[in-house]
Amino acid sequence: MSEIKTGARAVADLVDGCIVACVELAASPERVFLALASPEIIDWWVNPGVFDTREWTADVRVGGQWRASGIARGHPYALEGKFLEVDPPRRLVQTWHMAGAPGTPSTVTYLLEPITGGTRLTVHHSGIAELDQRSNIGTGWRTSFDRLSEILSTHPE
Amino acid sequence: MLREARLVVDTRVGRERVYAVNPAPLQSVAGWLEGYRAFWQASLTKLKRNLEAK
Repeated sequence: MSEIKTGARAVADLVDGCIVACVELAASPERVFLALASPEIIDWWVNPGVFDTREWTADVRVGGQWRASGIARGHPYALEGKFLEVDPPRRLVQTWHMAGAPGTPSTVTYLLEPITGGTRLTVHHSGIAELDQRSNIGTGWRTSFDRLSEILSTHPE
Repeated sequence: MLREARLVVDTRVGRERVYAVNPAPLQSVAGWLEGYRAFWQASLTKLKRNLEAK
């Protein structure tokens, strides 16, 4: 297996309010899919000291619910949603929402493509900016959005 | 519409209305998205490290 050196890249699309992230992994699509849809999430939805996922539970089938919880900057948080598409090892689509926050959930789509020596994983996280526009209208909503934004933000090391 | 979205601010000058771009809401959207962008960048980097360990 040839070594894959391309690191992770993530870009924000301000017009469509979405994130597109991509990484090439020296692992089979089956192996990568397992990491996306199992408690392995706990090992990589992590940014030490900023965003630590401690628990992940899910009913991995179309319509099944998932929930992740942990500690972010000293405060507990929970993310939840449901699976819209489950097509191993090619595609996984799930809604994504901070528990207790107003607004509609965003959507995370994972695409797995086999490449020489591994897998190209693309993440498309859409439906984000709409929430922000709403948060600008409802003052009561502002705090939770700001807090989630703060939770998700990382500081340069 | 731009005015309702607070993307422009307007000032009346006689019979005219002068518009200026208000960057604040866009900066807010950008800041909001940046949190998600950073989350996925960090997470995929960690995923790569985990899957390629050994």
